[in-house]
Amino acid sequence: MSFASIDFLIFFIILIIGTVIIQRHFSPRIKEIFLLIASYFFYGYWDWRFCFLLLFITVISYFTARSKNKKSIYIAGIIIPLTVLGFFKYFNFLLTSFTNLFNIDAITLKIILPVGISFYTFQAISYVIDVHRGKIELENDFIKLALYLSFFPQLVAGPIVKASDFLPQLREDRKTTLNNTRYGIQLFAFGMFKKIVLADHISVFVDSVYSAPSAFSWITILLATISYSLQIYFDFSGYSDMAIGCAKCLGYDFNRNFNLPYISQNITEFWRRWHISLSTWLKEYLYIPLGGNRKGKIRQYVNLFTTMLLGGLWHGANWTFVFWGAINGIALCIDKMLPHKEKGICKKIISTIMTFAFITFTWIFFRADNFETAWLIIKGIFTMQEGIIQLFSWSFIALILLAISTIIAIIHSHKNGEKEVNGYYYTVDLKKTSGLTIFFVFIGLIICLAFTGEQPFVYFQF
Amino acid sequence: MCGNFTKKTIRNILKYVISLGIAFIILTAFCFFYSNIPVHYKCTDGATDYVWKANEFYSIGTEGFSWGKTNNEGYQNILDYNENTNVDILIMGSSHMEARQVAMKESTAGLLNSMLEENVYNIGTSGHTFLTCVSNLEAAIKKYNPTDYIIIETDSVTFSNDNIESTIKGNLEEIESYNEGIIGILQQNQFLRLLYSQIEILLSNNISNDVEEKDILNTRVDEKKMDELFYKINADSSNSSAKIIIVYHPSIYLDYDGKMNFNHNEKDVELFAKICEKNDIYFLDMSERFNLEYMNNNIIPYGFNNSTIGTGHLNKYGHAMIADELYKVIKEVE
Repeated sequence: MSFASIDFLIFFIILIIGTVIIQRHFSPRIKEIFLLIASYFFYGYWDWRFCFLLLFITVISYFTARSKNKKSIYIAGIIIPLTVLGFFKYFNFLLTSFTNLFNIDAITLKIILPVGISFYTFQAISYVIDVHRGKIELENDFIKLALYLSFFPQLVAGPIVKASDFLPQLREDRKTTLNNTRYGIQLFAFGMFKKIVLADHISVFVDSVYSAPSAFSWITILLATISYSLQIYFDFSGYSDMAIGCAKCLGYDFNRNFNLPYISQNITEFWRRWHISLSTWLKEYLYIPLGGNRKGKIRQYVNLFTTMLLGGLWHGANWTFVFWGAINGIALCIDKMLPHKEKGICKKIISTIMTFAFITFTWIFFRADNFETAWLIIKGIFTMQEGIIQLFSWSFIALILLAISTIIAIIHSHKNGEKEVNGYYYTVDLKKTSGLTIFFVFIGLIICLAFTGEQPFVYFQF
Repeated sequence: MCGNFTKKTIRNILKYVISLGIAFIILTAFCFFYSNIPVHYKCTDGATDYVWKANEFYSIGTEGFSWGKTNNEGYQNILDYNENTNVDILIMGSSHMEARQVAMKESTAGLLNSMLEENVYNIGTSGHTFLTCVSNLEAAIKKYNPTDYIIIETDSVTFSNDNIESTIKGNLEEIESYNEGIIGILQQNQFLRLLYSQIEILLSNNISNDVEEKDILNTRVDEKKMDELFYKINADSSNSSAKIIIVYHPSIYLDYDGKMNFNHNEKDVELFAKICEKNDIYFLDMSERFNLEYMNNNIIPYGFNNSTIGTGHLNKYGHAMIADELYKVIKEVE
């Protein structure tokens, strides 16, 4: 069940009504069970068999975290979810890579990749590690832990919510209130606009260029490359906004997952602003355990590179993702080597443009199905290839909207005296007629302008 | 207490009603320019299944961007029609010939009008397949009595035997018009129309289109049935001196290497061409021209700057190619 579907709308309305009734007439425990059943229903809507996998990971996390003094069991709590992830996501990839390398006939298994497996296995691992490190209390309540791992807003495409952020909220018995819902649905609508109006329209253009890279002119390929930067941002940040909005309606708070990543002046800043929950996870559970920057410069670079390489592999079982991770890792290392001085406004703008150009270049490998396609895209741009010219209007609309919202965010941050520019959600007061009118117009525009073909969220595949 | 509660509730309801009302007006104004499709009515003379509301402003921003006004009969046509109008060339066809996505002057009919300096009358209407046009052919000839040519446009030469049978028997399902009652009133609001169409597509999620395309590729055309169909075409047009030209423009796709391909069975095209020839009907296949334009000038006949390139409706280049080829054919025949 995708957020951008009628099915989800019906599901969510029933869920909200059900939650309100339950929290008025029943104990918080019943509400937790209700949310847990709803989350499993949401997940099982794709394929009911996936629910057993989710339950298995939950059971493993629950029991291995309890035996925190036995190192072997604690390690099992990390290894088992990783093995499950490895089997479903990487088994065929590793097998075909191996057989291709030695020119052996490839035998692959028909494995369906369970939606969101990368996200909930990471959450499960972080829970076990945090309990072992003593960062969070052991959760004795199985229902609460199961709800944390399966909570539907973040289940299939993040953000990766840390146990230390979410379990305390479950213990607080958060409520669905009118104020929460008023704020939450506005975030959800924002995300919906980003996804079904901007990202989905752009996706048809990007898809057509990547499916026939030799057919298009260099200007079109360049525009498609830039468009993909916009598409993936609007798609994924849109999904995150929807997830944050859904959770807010139910009374829970998720941290933001994107913070105007394309205004970054260097690659390090970009990774602080892009997919923040993943960057934080990789930093806390991979980079720092590897030694971080505590073991000298060379070791720091190796750790950074390794983290990004594995981060790339996390995104997908394909060498293009590994390469994408590697070039980001190298760029981060180079950025660490360079001195960072206070810059004037012109240098800031140039740095931002250069960082965006670099990130856009790396997205080519992220989007391309294979190196051949990536090469054709790059070659097409740099050899000024002739071909079909299509100046896709939705790309320009998205670019203009991004520029406007960035300028508003810059002004807002300066006004509030913030050290760096931060994005924020512009919300209206839904208690007022003017606010309601703006909101209804916005919803109407989303429906009118929506791309109504089928376009799954980009991050569902991860 | 109770009075206060009631007052508060009424105030809240009023707030929502007013907000919805204002939002509705704003969205209707937006859709007036973004997607303004007139209501259609049953065509009483039978030349087409339906006609759009006459002399009505329309605009489209969902696929291409264009606007204009329907003529006095409700067709997308530069010319108005009255009983004294002499129609030299009559164009029948689907939404491609209707050409709402391009300016009227850039449509096949508009271009032919200026190229030939003859009265080219276009009754191409959305949803009208080749078989619909054949069903309406007799009535269209009776009404417009074209003197020189009848051009029938089609984007497919593969039809199901059931539909051919229905066309021959004269009971092919007609396109309904819902212009009466509450639905008729609701349809007059551009925002509600767009809302309905968006939700309808969202619910169907394009599944039906995929099935149709697969069906077409798996369908084999029965030659005998096609013969009967063309017999009907000849019979229905026997009272007219106008020559029939069937213009066929296949849908295309670009493969990974950038080669243009057509979504059709070559054998069906050959069969269709053969039967046309047998019945003294000119068959204009646009495949070659499309391919040439792509190879030489990197021009694709379908798609716009706000839609998927290579799919959807004919763009201005596609119309220009068809108009140019038709012009050549007409000059050649003359």
